[in-house]
Amino acid sequence: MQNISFSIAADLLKNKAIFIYGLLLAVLGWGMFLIESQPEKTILALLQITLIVVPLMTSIFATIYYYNSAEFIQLLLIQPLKRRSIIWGIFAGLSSGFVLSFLVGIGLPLLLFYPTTASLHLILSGTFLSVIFTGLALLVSTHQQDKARSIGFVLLLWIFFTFIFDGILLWAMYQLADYPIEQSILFGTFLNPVSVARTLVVMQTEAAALLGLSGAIFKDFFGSLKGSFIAMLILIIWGILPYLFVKRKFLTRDF
Amino acid sequence: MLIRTAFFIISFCVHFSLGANTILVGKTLSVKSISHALTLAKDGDTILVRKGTYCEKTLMIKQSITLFTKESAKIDAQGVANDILVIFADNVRIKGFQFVNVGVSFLKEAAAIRLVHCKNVIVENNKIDSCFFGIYIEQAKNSIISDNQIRGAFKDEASAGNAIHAWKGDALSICNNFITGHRDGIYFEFVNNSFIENNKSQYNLRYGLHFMFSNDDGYENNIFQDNGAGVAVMFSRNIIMRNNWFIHNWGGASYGLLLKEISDGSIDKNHFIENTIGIMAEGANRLTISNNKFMLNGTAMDIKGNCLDNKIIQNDFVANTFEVVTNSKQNNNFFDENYWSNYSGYDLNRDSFGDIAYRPVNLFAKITNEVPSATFLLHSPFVRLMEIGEKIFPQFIPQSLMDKRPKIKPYAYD
Repeated sequence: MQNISFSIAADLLKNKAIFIYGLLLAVLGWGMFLIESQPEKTILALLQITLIVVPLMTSIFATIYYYNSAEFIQLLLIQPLKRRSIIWGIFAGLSSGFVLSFLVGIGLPLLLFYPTTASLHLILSGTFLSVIFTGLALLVSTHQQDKARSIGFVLLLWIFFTFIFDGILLWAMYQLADYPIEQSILFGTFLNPVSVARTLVVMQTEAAALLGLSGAIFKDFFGSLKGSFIAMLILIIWGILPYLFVKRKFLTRDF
Repeated sequence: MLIRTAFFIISFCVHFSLGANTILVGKTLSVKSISHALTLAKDGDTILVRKGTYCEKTLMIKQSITLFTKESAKIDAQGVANDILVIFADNVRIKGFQFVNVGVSFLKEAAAIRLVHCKNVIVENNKIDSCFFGIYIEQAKNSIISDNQIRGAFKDEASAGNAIHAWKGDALSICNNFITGHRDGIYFEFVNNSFIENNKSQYNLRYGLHFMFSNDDGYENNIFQDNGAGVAVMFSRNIIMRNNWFIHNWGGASYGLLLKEISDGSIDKNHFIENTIGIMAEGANRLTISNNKFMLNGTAMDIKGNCLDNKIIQNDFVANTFEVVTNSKQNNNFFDENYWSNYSGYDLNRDSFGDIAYRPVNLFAKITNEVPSATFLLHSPFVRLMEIGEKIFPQFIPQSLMDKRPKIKPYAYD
């Protein structure tokens, strides 16, 4: 089981695409700090990168990788190995490759140049997002035979989580502005891992702006240790849940 | 101020040379209480109080005397809501005491020291602890309140008093005081031509410093930290605000500086750091806001539509979440040559000012103004997308609110 994930991770690291992904993050992460003299601004730029680039790249690479290694997976399947360990190997190998790239590219410069709790939250958020979107990509890939359709669907998922979800939320806020909706919004965001990750970091960096009546409610929740903990828990659930569906499909699937 | 101090010294020398007496007060001496000493004192006398705790109530000073202690004698009001010292005479000087335990009353504003209709009074080096009001100035002129430490431990605004409260006054000088834990640190109502300098006012429940209907005053080199709101200047004219620090005035309705219905003043070389809102301006007219540094505030400046003809020039706006917020589509103020850390233009002609104008109001600030719960979407990629759209096709934010010459590099205000 470990061997499979190791060999997939090693294979991924040899992959040019993942290397370029890592390099891109590193150029952005290290470069931002070297160019910009105000770390408060840099961390916000890196937050945007983490929220937009990381989900996009991980989900697309994971999808492509899954289809490209279809033959390798079939080869594994005819060996006396449990399916359970094969799919775990794929999931763990892929996500650890992405997490490693993220940690080296964005995590390391954050720790070196701006070691604060905000940075720590950003690193955790990025790590979770890598895992979550690998899971989502595998979820789509295992349920879909056609590679092109899978990529399209994964892209849709990415657009939904990064842009459309918040748009819907904003629309709902405008419609229901006269009602005390803060609590419902708070729970609504749990449906979107990108929002949870963003809020986790923003609460650490810019609590000042969030102090209005409604800001205070979010701040009370996410700004506290308990809130951070619950948000992490939500992210962990978001990491595990797609994998459970992936596993269920993979175990019963006819190759 | 120097001249005034010199005048006091000379006047005291004159008193002494006229054969003024010194009355000693002490637990073991013949004069055992300050109230007894006051019945003996004549104009020009000095009352020197020895160490000890004196339980006195409502000491009326009707002669021009110096009341002082070298051993920080304590005067205790024992929780009764009465004034401790009431000064009716001119040329009085109070120095070095500790005043404690003036009780809270909702009927009268009891204070440790009260100045009534007097001039040339000096109150210095006193410590005032747990008193309802600290120093209460009623129609005084030419007086100095300096080097006092005033500490309260109030929990709610309604039952708290102000540390230094001035109601009608002229040419007052409030300097080098340390104030904490009261309702307003310093409160000015109908006080003109006065100066507030080098004070530190922190953890007050309402404002660090509060002006009402006061004209031609100034405050300089003060620190206002962690107050309900730093400074409120309301219904006043010609207030000069220079070199002050507004730090971490933080909370649901907190401001560094609140301007309401004021005109013709200047706000110069101040630092606004980590406030929920740096400057909140409502009905502020003809002010010059220049050379200030706004850093790490939630909103650097909230300037409402009823503010006219203000000049906002050569300020540093660094790492604020929102730079300028307004509730109007019009703009009647003049922004020029400021540094905005969110500006991303270029400077081809190398005159150190950006070649494209900068609009500091962003769409998201406007959205949160209308739907407060939208603050939750701060830094959402979706909001970013909308902002880019708004920048290309401006629809909602005031067109004319722009800085035509945004500075490329920050000014060095430290």
